[in-house]
Amino acid sequence: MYPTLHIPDGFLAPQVALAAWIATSVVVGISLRRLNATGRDTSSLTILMGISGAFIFAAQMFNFPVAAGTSGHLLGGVLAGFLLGPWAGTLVMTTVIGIQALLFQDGGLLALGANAFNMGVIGTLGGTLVARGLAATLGGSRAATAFSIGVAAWLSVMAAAGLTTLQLGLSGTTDVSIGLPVMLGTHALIGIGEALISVAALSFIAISAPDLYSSSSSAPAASPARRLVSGIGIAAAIAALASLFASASPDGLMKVAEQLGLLEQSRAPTFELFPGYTVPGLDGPASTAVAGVVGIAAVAALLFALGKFASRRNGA
Amino acid sequence: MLHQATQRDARAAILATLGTTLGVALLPAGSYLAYLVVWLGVVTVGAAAGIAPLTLARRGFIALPFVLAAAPLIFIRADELIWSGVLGPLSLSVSGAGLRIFLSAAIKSWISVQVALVLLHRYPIESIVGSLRALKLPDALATGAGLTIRYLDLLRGEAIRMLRARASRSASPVGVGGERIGGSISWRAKVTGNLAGALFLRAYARAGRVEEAATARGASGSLSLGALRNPDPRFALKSLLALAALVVTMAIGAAAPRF
Amino acid sequence: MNSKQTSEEQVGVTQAAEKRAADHDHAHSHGSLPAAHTHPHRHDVEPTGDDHWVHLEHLHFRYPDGTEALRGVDLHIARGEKVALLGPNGAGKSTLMLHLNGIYHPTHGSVRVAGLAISNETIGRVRAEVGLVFQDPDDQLFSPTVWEDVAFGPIHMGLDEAAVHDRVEAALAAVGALELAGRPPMRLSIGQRKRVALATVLSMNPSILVFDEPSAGLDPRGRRELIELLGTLTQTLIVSTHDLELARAVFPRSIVVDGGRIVADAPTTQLLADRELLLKHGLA
Repeated sequence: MYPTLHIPDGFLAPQVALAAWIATSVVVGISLRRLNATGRDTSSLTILMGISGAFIFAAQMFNFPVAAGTSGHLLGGVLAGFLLGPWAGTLVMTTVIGIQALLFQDGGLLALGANAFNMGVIGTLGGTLVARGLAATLGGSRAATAFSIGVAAWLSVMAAAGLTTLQLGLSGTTDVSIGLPVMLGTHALIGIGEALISVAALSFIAISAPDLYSSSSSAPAASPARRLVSGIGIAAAIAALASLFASASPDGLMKVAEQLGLLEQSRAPTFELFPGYTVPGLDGPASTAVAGVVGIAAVAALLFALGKFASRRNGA
Repeated sequence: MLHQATQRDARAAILATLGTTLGVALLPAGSYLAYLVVWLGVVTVGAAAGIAPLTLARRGFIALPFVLAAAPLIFIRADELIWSGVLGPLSLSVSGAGLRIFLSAAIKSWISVQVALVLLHRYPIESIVGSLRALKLPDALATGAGLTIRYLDLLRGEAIRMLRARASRSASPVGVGGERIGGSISWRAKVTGNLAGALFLRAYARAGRVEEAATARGASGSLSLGALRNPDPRFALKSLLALAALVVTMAIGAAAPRF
Repeated sequence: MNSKQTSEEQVGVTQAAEKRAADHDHAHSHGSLPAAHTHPHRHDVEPTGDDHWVHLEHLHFRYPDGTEALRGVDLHIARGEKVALLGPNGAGKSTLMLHLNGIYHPTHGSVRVAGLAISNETIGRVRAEVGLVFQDPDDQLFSPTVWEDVAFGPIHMGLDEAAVHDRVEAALAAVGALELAGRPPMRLSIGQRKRVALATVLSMNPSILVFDEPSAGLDPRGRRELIELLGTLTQTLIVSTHDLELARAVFPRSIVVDGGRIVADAPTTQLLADRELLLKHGLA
């Protein structure tokens, strides 16, 4: 539907943009504090983070042809989070998205909070925590880790696409009933590319530099702040997936938007592709069924992951 | 790349940029006259900074593809119908309200990009990062951003060389293999992941060398990357002017008629 | 054919990065050159297949930033010939080599290899005919194991599993690296990586092999082994090098490139005896 997840300025209502700025700032603040608390030499970590930011930019250039002139490439949130740890990874991705906005006008300045939240915070922090939790509960074998990274990478892309659409919907600049199914549908495929690339990259590093990999993927001990942020991350992932269901009944979301006063008027579809039939992807029974299956599968996968994550937390 | 000597204080300009962007976002939908006035202001500042208005306008279209997000509103909203009819198999209606939201978002994004471009044209990115640090951006972020920018071209260069090497081995002789040429999509994705992994190991090795060099120079503990060396003494006055940009933009929006 | 554009960079690359990657040894200094030094071509034969297995005509290339890297290169190389490309840093050697399998497309002029004019239709076949071995093996090696890396070309060509297996085994055997098959390329020595990089193109059965600075970074033993290995290859060889001993040992014919032009083209022994020429073009 829209070719990028980088929202430019002009599309977000100031309230939405501001709320996202606050959410991002809070998580960035926690990440900075967590990093200082690790006791690692911050100078060497800062150098690694800075160069890793450049790495993410460069790695996004690695594309591969998919079909019909389209090509897939990496977003890199889960990859960064797994290589540098969730906190440093989040800061790196936030920095990358900030530089994209400042230097390349890829995403707006006011929308930077939202873009950083969708791709940096949820994608990296949420994605990495989900991946680690899932990997640990599945036994931590190499295959389990790879599978978990793949799931988390896929979820990170879906969450970013879902959140982007919801924020636009709340701002009244997109129609969620069309936007969500289209965005989630296309990003379900894009997410598979993200998953395959992330898994391959991490297993490449695990094979070529095993010592580096084991030091970067060891999870630090849990703390209240960590639990809080993982809670936020997972809640946002759930929100993104819940929106899948909302796509089947978009009226509920519209109601929320109306109550927030962001939409001037409710909408009613008057756009019919063929008289007597509705737009494919809107209300057609086949498209509803497809959306339902995807949604249920995704939520089942998430619930499974969360269950394992929770049981590990109880056991630990 | 971070030329400390030539670094300039961009704090007031950053505040003005953010103020104008926020002001544009706050302009009501449909205030086309206000958009025009604000745009003329932006172009004037841009011209003073040395960018031709048409160049600026053209480069402002960079975010244009995103208007697709708002396009369905034109046809989906049922209010203020300005046209409806049958177009081939399509039964279409055009909503005035939808059109207004679409056009307003498109114009606002177009103006906002130009505002950012003026800032970037006026100040080198290193000055902007240094000024952001002076505006209380945390050290770790400022230094990280400075290093990212410093190594951006280098790592992109490495990525291009790797892509080039991959391309030169991407052969597809006719008559061999048929539709399997190019490998399966999942294999291609895996190769792409391998490239990313290999590049990270290079980046990691480079980080190690940078750290060694920094230690050798005795810069242990903190890097001074991105520090603002020449603060502008008239910063307070200038930021008041920057704040005025926001107020003026909003005042224009309130005064101008809407359609 | 779309000039200036390189085939893989549709991704919005900054010019600086493009420039940096463009040519490892590409410096900005292009002094003016005496035109008198151009030697005529040795081949007085008709431009038919095997005699003109590599055929460059009036090749010009300008980088997007305006730097003129090639200023009219005419060159014919016969099938099976072994040619050294000599010249100072920034002479245009690497840029020239990147034209040989369509990574760069000439601003003016034409490139024919193995009887194929390079175009969008032929590019896949050209890349099967011309194997490019880059100066830095790390650019070329991107797989978790040596075996997978050598298999990349054959798999991309669409060969079936058995054929891929045979190709990989033969290529690794040819460079004496069979025992490295399961190792990660990144953990090999520089000499081993150079040999594996060669295997990654040998597995595609090219008729032309193009090397950029193969002896750079090798210790004396690695260099000796490289010279032996190059001597065993039967393909058409085009090798850019600063290593005059390597040129003397392996290549009967040498070409001197400077300022984006061919300034000398002669039997290697004769060329290396011309001390004035070598000094003039920064080779001695």
